[in-house]
Amino acid sequence: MYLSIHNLFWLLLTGSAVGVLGAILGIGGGIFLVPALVLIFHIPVHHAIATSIVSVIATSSAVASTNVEKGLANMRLGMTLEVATVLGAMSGALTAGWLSEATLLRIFAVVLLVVAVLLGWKSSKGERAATLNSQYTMLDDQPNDPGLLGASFYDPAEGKQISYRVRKTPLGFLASLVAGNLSGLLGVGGGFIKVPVIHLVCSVPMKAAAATSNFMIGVTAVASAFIYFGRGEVRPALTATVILGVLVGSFIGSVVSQRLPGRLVQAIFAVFLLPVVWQMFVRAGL
Amino acid sequence: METNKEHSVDRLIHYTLLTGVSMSAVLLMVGLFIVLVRGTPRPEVAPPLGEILRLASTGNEVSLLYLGLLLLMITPVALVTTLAYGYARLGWRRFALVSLLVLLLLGTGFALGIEG
Repeated sequence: MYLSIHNLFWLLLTGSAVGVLGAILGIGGGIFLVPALVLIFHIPVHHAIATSIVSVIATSSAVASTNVEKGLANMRLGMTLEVATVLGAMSGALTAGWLSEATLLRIFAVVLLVVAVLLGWKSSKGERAATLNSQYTMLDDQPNDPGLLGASFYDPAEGKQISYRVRKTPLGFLASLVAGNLSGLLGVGGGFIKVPVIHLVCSVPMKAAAATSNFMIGVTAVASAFIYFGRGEVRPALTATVILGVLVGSFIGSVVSQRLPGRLVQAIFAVFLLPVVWQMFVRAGL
Repeated sequence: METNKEHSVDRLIHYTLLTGVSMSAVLLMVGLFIVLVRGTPRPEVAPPLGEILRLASTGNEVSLLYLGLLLLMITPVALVTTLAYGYARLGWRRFALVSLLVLLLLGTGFALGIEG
């Protein structure tokens, strides 16, 4: 793509929109960015995935710097699970190089459909979802000893220090392997798998689970980004423009999301994603 | 596990991430600006890896973009390195070794990318 002012403007706008959506919906931008680049800008899917994976590094690093400073991200747990995630990511990126554009598009469409269903489910759960997703959920009494992987953080909403113990780490490990593989294969962050598993299975409070997942995503993405870069699939002008747009959009989204009815936005996008899924299948030749 | 001691590591990581993303963003903005001003057609061909820094210092817009992207990609690597150092300094050998293992895996990814 030749970078004109016209292309630059629309790419920046798309990147910003993706950043805003990601911040509002709590899902990484990659899941929206790849379809946008493929369907609107007709970027070959391997290049779109490469662009997305590098963009994920930018947003993850920017957000993680804040979460780490607040003590929300559990870096010990993150690094432990990262062993599996990075392995999964590298295998995913290598696999993507062997798959045809049509196959990748079909796989992406299926994952997008799952995300649409998850968004629809979350929006329909009402008060229970709000309790589960917007506040931390203590699954144990405050443990005296958080253990090797446990941690604590100050929750301003609760006005107290919350400590927790991590459980069922092997399952978290397995989920991280799968999430990493999808990340490397499709250029997404993988948080839509990691966050529910870290929260519900490993018993980490939701805020810490989301922060830890976000902390991990950048490291996971770089493992596969090197592979895409080496294959020449990272297009610098395209990627740079999208990254700048997504960074701006993420900032705007984090401000706006506090004023929007989250469930309504989730429901709208669950429906909006369905024709996008269809279009991805059509582009793949069904 | 004395999580209070982690605060010093938290600060190191915070500044590592912030510095990496900020410097990368500046290089990308400068590179894009020059691409637009010069009307560089299809700036997609990568210069040799060893030449990127030298060419970027001369204002070559494609190299500036690649340098910005490489800096961004190195930021999480710097994060893991800083973590390994921080945990080692705290005497948390187990987590220092886990971080070094992740670093080794990232190095493997880098080597695979070079080969590609």
